[in-house]
Amino acid sequence: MLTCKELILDFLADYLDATLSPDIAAELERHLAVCEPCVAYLRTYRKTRELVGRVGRVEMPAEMRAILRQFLLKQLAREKSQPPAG
Amino acid sequence: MRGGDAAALETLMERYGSRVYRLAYGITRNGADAEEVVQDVFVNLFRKIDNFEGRAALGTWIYRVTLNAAMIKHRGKRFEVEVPLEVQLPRFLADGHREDYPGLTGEDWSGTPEEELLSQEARALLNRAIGELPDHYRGVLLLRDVEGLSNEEVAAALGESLASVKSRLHRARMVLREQLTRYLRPEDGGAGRKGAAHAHV
Repeated sequence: MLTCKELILDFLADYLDATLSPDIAAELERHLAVCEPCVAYLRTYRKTRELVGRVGRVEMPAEMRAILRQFLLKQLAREKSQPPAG
Repeated sequence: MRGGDAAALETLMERYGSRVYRLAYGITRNGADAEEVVQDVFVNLFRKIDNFEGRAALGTWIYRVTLNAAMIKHRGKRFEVEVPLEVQLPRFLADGHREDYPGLTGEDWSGTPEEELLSQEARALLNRAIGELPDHYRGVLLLRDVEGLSNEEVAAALGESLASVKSRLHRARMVLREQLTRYLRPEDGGAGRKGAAHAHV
């Protein structure tokens, strides 16, 4: 049977991505069936991944977006008004 | 720029503006720096847009230049001493059990109510922990877990091997999981009692 170390360090991420081979996935699930701490680790690791996604989803402030748009439009106009180099 | 008009600019900003900003902010952790990065990336994009064949190549390019520009900007401003990642990862005994078994491995805070998981304090803790990751770990984490790219897409965007991307991603998540566990574990009563938010391994 897999050890906790192998499960956590080597296979957990691939298991959650469903990219483990069926044999290893089955072995991992046999371990989980009898190892509560690893089940806890899996659940909290998965929750961590989810929280990172939610906390990290910041949006560009509207004011910054407006300033950026103006800046880029000016830049665009300037570049179009200049003849190509060469 | 293809079409060379303001409408095309709007489309590009609509499609990529938030992604570029998020990634730039995620690396620099500073709104003003992120704004400069976004500006540079889009100016660059205008000049090179005609070279891209299809949206996939464009997306990969945008992520790569954003990450590079943000890391360069951030590199000159990092004053804090980086905590080695190894000391924040789970440690195991020779028999494969965790050293502090059941300790932190066995703590299950996944059922913590949403309002507690997403409280201002918990968000601040997680943001701080993400900010303390080395840049090249944070970049992979943001592309994968915030932007939702696949491991293969992250590897393509960074020009790195799949194995390297997967290894850094997993280590980054384990470090963050450790920090959250110290804050949320039930034996502390959750929500960071005993100052657990500042604990280090």
